[in-house]
Amino acid sequence: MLTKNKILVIISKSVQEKVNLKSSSKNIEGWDSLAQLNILASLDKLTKGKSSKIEQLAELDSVKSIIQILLKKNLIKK
Amino acid sequence: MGIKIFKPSIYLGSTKLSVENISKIKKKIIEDKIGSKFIHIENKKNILEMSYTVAKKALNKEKQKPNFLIFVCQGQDNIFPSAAEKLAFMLGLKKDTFILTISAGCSGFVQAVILANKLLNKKNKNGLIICAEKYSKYILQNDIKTRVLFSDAASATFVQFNKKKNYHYEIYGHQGDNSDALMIKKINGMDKLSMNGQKVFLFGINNVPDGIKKISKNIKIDKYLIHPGSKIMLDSIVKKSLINPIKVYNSFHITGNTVSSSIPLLINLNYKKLLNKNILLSGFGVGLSWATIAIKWI
Repeated sequence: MLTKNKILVIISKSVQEKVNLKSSSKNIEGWDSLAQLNILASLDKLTKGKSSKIEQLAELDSVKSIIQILLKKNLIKK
Repeated sequence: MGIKIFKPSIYLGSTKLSVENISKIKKKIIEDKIGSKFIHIENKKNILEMSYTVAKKALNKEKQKPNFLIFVCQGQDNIFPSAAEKLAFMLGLKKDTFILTISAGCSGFVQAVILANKLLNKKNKNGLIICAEKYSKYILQNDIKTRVLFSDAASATFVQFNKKKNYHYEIYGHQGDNSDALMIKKINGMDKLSMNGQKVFLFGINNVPDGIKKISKNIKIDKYLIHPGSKIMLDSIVKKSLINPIKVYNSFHITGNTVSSSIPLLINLNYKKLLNKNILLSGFGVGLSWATIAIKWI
């Protein structure tokens, strides 16, 4: 199962900048629509498609909100 | 019965632009995520003129008159009438030619082939599918992330009745609750393209691979012609469909996403390689909708 740290690594790689729990598209320059697609593609791969079933994920553009929804859907360790 | 798909004629927008120059997006991101280094924009011709140019080319090449014309287009020059009937007149098609317009985006060509397969018979032996789209007129100059994806294009593809069964599978679907993810909206009083790329992406990877896998279970597919919307989308669909990427063609070396002409462009670029092979065609996009078919190429 994924961990919060792994999510931070995935997002950092996608936005090409180190992120933390306070990071979002508002304070990270590289977090644009392409980076967002990258995040979705990486999560889809690591969760074997489960994350892509979460429709709200398309709208989430902060580390905190992404972790929260994945926790709620039991896709990352608490 | 079966269907023969002839080599499509293609018209690409007359102005070729470098994605790197217009967007300042890094080369690596263009190559890895967007796909094409170039897009084609049409500044002079309208939809009717683009369609006429490409259809005339196809008629001259195939030297036959179709019994029906399926015109696939969303961004028509006028809200109505469709350009289809005027196009038929300009091309000199017979008065009793069956003319039909489909308002569809990137699924449009495959949907048109599904329909053509049902229309073709011993009496109606020939059909013509014309796809034309000019998204550039709907994209704001400062909407760079959308602008770098789409190219203006038109295509004309002859189809013909075939006595032997070569049309194996068709599978399609829609997700209307997310139709606003890709639509024309009024922005400052003008019709502009509004795209939620993330929603379209999730739609694509949640629906298209299942259809591809279902068909691939029943028939050995030799080559895949999957709508190349963007590289990140195509790569994700290929991965999720468990396809060997070597079997998948793309057109990123030529241009960007040509909407309903994207699969005709793939056919045009690889026509000889398709002969006698089992080919899967899959389109998806506006609607949101998707359509996938498998045929033996003859």
